[in-house]
Amino acid sequence: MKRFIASLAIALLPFAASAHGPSPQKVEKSVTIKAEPAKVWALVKDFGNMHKWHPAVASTKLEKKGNDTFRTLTLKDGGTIYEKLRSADDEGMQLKYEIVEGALPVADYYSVMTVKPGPATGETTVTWMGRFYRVYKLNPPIPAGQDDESALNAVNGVYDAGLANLKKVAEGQK
Amino acid sequence: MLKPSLLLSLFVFGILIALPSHADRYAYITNQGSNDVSVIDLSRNKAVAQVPVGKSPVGVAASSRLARVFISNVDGQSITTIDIKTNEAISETPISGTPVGMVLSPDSTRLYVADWFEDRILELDTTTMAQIRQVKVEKAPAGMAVSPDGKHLYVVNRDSNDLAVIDIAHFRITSRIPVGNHPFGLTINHDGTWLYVVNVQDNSLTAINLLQQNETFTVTVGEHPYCAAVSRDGNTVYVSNTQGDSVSVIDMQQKKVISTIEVGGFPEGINYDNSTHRIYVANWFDNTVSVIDARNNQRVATIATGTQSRAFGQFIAEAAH
Repeated sequence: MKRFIASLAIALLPFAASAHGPSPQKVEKSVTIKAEPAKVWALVKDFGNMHKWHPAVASTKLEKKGNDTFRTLTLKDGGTIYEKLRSADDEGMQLKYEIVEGALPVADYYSVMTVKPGPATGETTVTWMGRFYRVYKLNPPIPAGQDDESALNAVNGVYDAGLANLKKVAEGQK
Repeated sequence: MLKPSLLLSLFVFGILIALPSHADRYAYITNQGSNDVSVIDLSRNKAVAQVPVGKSPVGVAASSRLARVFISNVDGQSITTIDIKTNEAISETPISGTPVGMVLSPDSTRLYVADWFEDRILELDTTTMAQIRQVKVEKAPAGMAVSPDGKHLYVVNRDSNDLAVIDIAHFRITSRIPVGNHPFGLTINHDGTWLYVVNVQDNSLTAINLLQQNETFTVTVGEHPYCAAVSRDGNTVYVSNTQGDSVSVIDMQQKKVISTIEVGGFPEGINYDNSTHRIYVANWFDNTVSVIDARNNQRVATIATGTQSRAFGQFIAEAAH
């Protein structure tokens, strides 16, 4: 009965308070790209076209709901991730977004991508950071796949593959 | 005319009388990522020791009276006791749930521990660290505060969006006050007349007048705020905005934000120190503590700490030397 009510509550409140544990995890990765910052920022800020640079994403569907912008990422491996855009700051070249729900084994995931000129002229450094919690929301023992390690491995994988391919795409563009 | 030796003795005696006895103030910062606590000397704005504790330390309750600091190890499921005089961990007390928020009774004889997943508050004897009583408080109890008279314990419950008032004598909930969405931090002013609740998902602070509860009001602050600290005179409240990388300064008379101060990345635990008139805030992302001068709301120092610094609770204490 409790589980039925819980699932009903989730159906009624798609953006219900994202419950999570008390120890947030952190991932921060960087890549240096031999391309102009403006070109790299154009790729990063294009919230509806993540499939253009992330190798795990098959397609991106953008939608607006009132003042908010969301995207659904359909993954090549199957599964989707539904994300909400928090801000895209052209002056600071910074994109902020969060995961509403989806295939990654994380809870309350918030991320910032920052594009900066340098270190050398004509180069750009992109930093991708994420703050998130593991999926499991009860005391240990923690089931496999729902622990901190699974969350960290998943996000590390997304960032490593993403930044490596962003570099290829940005450098390959004319 | 006094003899020279007598004069010299009187002079030296005079100097000794004039020197104040020196008690230093320290901040004990929990570093969730490096499983240790940075001990910061507030007169030098520098970490002077790093104390290894349990796994993923988050909460802190420092007692000058006991000369002890209690640390909640969230993933280690235990509480570490640190001796302030030696900066050494002297015991680790296992807790069967997940201890996060903690607060001491005014006389430091009792430590209240919020068990995040088991939805309960434990009462521990600080001398023996034995558990005396517990009370069920749903859901996901987070920040806590105690009234100065020691009669009431206040708890905000992150997943039920309310504040529970607990009568300490009987250790049971006597009332619940609705607050905003996903409350996490809680602090009380010095004379125990106002409570301040940080509503993480509403980007707001709720102020509750304990003498007149219909005088409750809410102020919008920065993005995804976590914790709050109040000045000794009760006139100013400081809120850490984790996704804004800033501290909001709220004037209680005007009931609004009068300044927003840039600090480090993902600021969380925040304390006001009355002897230095400064605010200290731990930056989870930057692995630092930002120091703000309360007189002009300027950031005056940044102190390196361990990784993923959080300092959730009362983290400043005095250590006499």
